[in-house]
Amino acid sequence: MSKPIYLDYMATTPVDPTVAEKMHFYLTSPDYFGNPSSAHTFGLKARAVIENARAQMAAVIGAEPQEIIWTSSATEANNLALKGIMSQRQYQKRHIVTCQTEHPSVLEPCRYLEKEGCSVTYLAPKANGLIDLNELVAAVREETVLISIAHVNSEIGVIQDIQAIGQLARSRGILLHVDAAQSAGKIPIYLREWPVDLMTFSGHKVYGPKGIGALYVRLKPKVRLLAQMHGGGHESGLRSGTLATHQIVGMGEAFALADTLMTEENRRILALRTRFWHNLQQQNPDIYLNGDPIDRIAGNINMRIDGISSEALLLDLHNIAVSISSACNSVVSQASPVLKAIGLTDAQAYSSLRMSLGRFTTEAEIDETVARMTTAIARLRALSPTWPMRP
Amino acid sequence: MQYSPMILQYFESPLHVGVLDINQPGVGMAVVKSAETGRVIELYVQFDQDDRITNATFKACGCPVTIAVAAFVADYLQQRSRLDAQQLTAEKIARHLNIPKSKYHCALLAEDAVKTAINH
Repeated sequence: MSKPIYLDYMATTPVDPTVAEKMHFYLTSPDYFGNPSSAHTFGLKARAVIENARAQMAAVIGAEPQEIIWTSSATEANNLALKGIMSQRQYQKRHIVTCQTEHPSVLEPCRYLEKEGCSVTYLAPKANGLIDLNELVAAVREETVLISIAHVNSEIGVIQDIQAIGQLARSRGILLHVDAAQSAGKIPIYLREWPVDLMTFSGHKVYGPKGIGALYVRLKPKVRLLAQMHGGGHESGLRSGTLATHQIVGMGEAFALADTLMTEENRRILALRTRFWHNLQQQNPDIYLNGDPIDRIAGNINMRIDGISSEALLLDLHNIAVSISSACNSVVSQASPVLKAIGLTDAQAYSSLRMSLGRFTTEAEIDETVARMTTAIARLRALSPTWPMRP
Repeated sequence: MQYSPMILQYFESPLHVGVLDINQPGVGMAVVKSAETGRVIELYVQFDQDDRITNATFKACGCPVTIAVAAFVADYLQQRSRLDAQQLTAEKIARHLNIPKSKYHCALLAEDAVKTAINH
């Protein structure tokens, strides 16, 4: 059996060796295990390392270090942002605007907040996955308090115009939260210039460890939110819990490294994606990209392959790791809500899969994947009553 | 998902792939689909004058279990009597292929295809 090929970088990334080495040092050193809240030298040393990581992250995103709150994950950061804003007395039962294509860690808190009396508008995106600013304007109401939009969509990789959305939000006195879990470290972020009030970050999507995330909370003008984790008052009272020095080091280092490599990495990954897509399409007709082809991060290929089920394709591909978001595990449709929101039928959603390239993807892996996909697509299409597609 | 060896066998190496001419005497066909989940099974059967199935072919689009059940029934029906075919239930299909509960609906689709094709 050939070596496994990993093409699911948007699900998670391997920890970069440089990051792992630095984490290992801080995990095993007798000098840095102290509780960062302790007043003695052990604590102060750990604290200094954490503040260095905080400064690293701030530099990458154009923020002040004190605007960064460490959390356990991007999911927790999203929960803190949404619930932290809306649970404040003056915002209770008010209105949020978000998008149908958001990650579950945004949609589920919104559904929870609806049960608590808030109203939420879930905008439908355009067919290319991008938000129609006119629809956003129309959705905003007198009682709208918060807009929450992902910078890069986790399934189709499209990039929203956060600056335009932010300008709209500012003009109406509405707060903007941006889930940047899939964008930070991959495309530039300038929070000093962008009208964004809250932003979510993930460690494990950018070659850092799992189990660490962060929430940016703007200080000028000051954004207030209510803590969701109560305890020792860590992180300016916004997120209690002893800070995990080695995890934070890992996230800071991963972000600093990603920033250094960003331009060249994007160029390389885009070239690999272009090569993959061109070769795959040349050898296989009726394969389509889901989502905007231009406003898209370099590594994402969410594609639809007419005439076959991507669940079957996945099995034929054996040890090539990609992701499908629609699986038939019951009589009821479980087609991806994101793909349905951009206008795909259920059947088209079941023919779609997400491939995401990354830092360690090689040309050889791309070429082997094209070859094996071509063989598998041909085999499954030969079995299929829906191929060739009838007009 | 972990698939049973039987499911993998029928999925990876299906026999009797294809269509029969429904204009020929004794040929019945079924097209059963679940539009919500993108599954389609086409099943063709050829009866002789003794009401025995001399050939059965299939085409299928869907998850690996969908393809496996379609391949299995086309194989099972070879040289079977109409009575044997009528007694091929989803439960028998599921048991033979060791289909997990979450995929039982695929066996139901295949049973539907058999009943429709032999009654065509």
